[in-house]
Amino acid sequence: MNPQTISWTTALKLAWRDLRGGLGGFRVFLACLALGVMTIAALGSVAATLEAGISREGRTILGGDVEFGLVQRRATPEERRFVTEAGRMSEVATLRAMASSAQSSRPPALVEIKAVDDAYPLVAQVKLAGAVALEQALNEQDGIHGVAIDPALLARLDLQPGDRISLGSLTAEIRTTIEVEPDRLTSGFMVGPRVLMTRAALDATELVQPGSLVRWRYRVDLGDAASSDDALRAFIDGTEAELPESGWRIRSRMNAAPNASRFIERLGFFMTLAGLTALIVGGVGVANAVRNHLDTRIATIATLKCLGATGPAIFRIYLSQVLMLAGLAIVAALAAGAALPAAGMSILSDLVPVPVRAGLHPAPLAIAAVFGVLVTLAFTLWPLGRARNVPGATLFRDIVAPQSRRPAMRFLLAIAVCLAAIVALALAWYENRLITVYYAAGTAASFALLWGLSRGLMSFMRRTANGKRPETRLAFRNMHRPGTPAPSVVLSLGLGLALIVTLAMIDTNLSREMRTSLPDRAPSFFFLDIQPDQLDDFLTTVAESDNNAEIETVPMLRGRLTELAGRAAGEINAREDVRWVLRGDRGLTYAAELPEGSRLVAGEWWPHDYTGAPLVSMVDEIAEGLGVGIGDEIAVNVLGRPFTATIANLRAVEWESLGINFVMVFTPATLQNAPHTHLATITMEAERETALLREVSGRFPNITAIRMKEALDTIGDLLRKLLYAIRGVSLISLVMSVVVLAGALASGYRARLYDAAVLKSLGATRRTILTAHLIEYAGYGIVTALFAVLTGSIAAFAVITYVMDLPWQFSLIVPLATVGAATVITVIFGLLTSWRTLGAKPARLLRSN
Amino acid sequence: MKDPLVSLRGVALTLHSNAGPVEILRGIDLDVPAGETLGLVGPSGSGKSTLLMVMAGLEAVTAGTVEVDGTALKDLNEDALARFRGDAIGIVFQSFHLIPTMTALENVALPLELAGARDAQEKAALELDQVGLSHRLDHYPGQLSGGEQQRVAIARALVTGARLVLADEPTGNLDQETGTKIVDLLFSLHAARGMTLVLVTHDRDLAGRCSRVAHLADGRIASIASGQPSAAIATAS
Repeated sequence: MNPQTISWTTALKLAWRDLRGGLGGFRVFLACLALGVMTIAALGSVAATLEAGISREGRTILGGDVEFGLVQRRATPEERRFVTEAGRMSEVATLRAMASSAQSSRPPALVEIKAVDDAYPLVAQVKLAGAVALEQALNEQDGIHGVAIDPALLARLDLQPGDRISLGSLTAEIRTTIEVEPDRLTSGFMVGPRVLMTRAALDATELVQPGSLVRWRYRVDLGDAASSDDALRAFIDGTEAELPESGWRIRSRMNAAPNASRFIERLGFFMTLAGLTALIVGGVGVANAVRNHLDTRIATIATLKCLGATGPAIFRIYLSQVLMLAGLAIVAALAAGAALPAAGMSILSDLVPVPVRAGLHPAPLAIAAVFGVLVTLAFTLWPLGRARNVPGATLFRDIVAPQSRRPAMRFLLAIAVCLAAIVALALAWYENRLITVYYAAGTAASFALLWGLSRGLMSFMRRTANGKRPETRLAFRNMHRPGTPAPSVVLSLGLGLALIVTLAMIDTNLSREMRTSLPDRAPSFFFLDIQPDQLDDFLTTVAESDNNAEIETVPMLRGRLTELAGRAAGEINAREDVRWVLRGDRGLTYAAELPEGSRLVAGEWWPHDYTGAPLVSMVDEIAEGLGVGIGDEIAVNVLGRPFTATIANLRAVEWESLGINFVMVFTPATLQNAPHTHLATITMEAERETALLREVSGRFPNITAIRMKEALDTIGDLLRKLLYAIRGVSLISLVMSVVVLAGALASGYRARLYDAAVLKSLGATRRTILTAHLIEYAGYGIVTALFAVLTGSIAAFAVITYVMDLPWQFSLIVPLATVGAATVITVIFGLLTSWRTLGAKPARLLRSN
Repeated sequence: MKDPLVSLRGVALTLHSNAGPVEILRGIDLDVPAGETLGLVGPSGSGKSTLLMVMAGLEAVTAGTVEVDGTALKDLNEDALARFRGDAIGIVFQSFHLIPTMTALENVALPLELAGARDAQEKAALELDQVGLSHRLDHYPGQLSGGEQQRVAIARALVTGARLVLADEPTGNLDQETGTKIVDLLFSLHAARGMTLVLVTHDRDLAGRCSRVAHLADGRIASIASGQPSAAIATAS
């Protein structure tokens, strides 16, 4: 007797024979799968290329094998000796300052100074315009120091090489501009253009004063002593053991640019989710294509059943076929996805200043392939499960006992397993688990809603819709007849559009917030590095400039959290959203009174004249995320000295007020004797801002001004670029939606051809048929767009209100544009199908049927 | 009478449609001895094709028992029925139902391949030779005439050594001359191999060549004529 099923070899052979008829029916299948997998593979490869660049070029990016970073203080002689003995050493100082020029009418500009010694750079080369040597560009000639600057600063101050520029007490000559700064990435996010100078020139600026926000970096080339990563790790461990009190931040070539790496990882994560959405939207097309294909194979399946094929054998044949084609699409997509980063190498170099090199990155390709296979299975098991139930009796007559619409329970379970595997893979691969869970829940909810919507639409049309005109009646009936494209159109277009609406709504709200709301509440300037003896003069200068200016000042120090509740900061498993508090230095302050913009939520504020044991007030949500509370002790390293304090109370802070807020506020006695500067916020009339900027820059060259509007513009630009990037990938979802939509509408071509022939034979004009189709397609577009607007707005509302904590405002432009675009898209693609049916001659068609 | 290869007892079949239940077969008792040729005749809708499907295990009966080659079909699930068909039953369709994307050789080898036979292609080639199509092995159905397609279908039905061959109007889609040739082939193969042949037909001449003819009307066997098929058809008319 025949075996229970057939071997995979036989199944593949029969599947291959079945494909001899051509791949025409699989065009949408191949396109959807290839586009989705290619998107994920390409985005993953881009991120991997950048990460590999950072990892491979770690030494160049860091400027050595290891870097010891200090804030606000130089290394002690003991620390210096230790570093110098380890290998070749270079000392680099970075700080922000105001640059102005007597030769320019422009207001002073915020710049990022980098002062280097003779040993700089230990690794790689600085490239300057005109092939000028670094030493020649920076050394003192005829009593004038030289600087090399970012070309952007030339434009901002309207200067030329050879002009003079003032930084603090220094007037320097601009000798050339910087083309390549190999260790640029270690500086992280820069608010101003770079100015490169010597250490001697930095001294001449007189900007380095006690408490000034200067970062000192000591890079060491360890030579052969650290040829292997293990040797380097051992050296770092030894350093931490030998000088535990130094409080310096040690970075090695193995994690040269952690912020950039994190940024790339996060961006890659969001992009991949957008890519996965595209793939899932494509899944609808994949399911449609396989269902349509299997519909054309009913006679073949029934014949096979009559010849002894069992249900499992049928399933195996068509599963082999689907996997064979999926393999074809996935291999092509992986090849394209792997090649894209290489093709876009120049764009990548501009995007992130990392030396990128083309290369094959198997991990993201493997992930993309697995997503491709899982999506294929999740969306095809339903039609495949049904196909195995096609009875052989189908060959004997058209009507047999009605076939169940649902496949057997084990197929539903297998689909659930595939979907769970997609979520599990995303969770395992990407660090940001909470967002992945929200994403999975959101996608599942959208699918369920869209499915419900399509059923609801069909049911509504069946029960109630009954137009007066024949065209309307025809259109309404088409929306609920068997084989209607309604579910496919609503599902495919709905998900893509909902994603676009969400991003567009977030963008609109963010832009509006940046443009209108913030300036009303936000200060005009932040002034940094105000020395204690300058504070009174500074306040007088501001008052003279604008009597009505609102001024707020606070003392400020920098310090690093080293211990919390008896545990080293490095050992604490902090909540993801507060990990930044443990990374690097934080601003610290002290206050006798509860700061403005804060509200006490637990514990008690200390008395005004408190001088007892050191106490600290922490922001409630951050303390919670770090796992500490009232009564716990924290240790902070300030300028190399450890301070400990007990948490006395917790505050809730309105961060969006953009006032001065600190995570940690200490009792005055704890910190007021440590060297510190003051930070001031000034809120004033916009037209007086430039005058104040000039006045402050002139009288207090060491004080750095950050203009809120410019800072917000910079952040806004960055956010917008990110949104554009994510939106760009989301557009792929929309393209995918259109592919699925086109496939779904085209699959109804034969039925429409027959309908048109019958209608014509009964007296319907082409105009009547066309109008009916137009109403039907527009109906799909409008209903789907309304859904997308509703769900997209809810998602955007949640992100704006709960994640970004900003006021929400509904934008009318986005919905109108969405409804318009969806209607136009569905009508165009629908009519492309209908147009061909109208030209067919009814007699010929009806004879052949 | 020889032992029956097919035995039907009190077979009834009711299908449920949106318009309500439809009684298609009503209490059929029928034995078909091994090696017999039986013609099923009757007007459209009388239940001929359904009776054939019941014998093939393609349709489960609502009441009664069906035994083929000693196997009670109601004891088998759908997959076991498929395997039983692959082993014991060959079916010839009015519309041939060859797989259009497979060559004549591949179509005939198909049931053997489904059964896991290693020499499927060789056996299929021999079978095609038996039906006179050794020169058409690599032709696709679209490249064959109607008669040739039906010969491929017959070869496919017989290649597994089926003990029961069910033919549903095997000449219904062919012109008279070609139909006659196909019937000649079918009966000569029956004579050579001795399998049981049950065929549904509207063709008096074809039914006349069967050893017995059962006339169906309204889901029941109205009469069975032995050796006098023409008379039976005349009665029914």
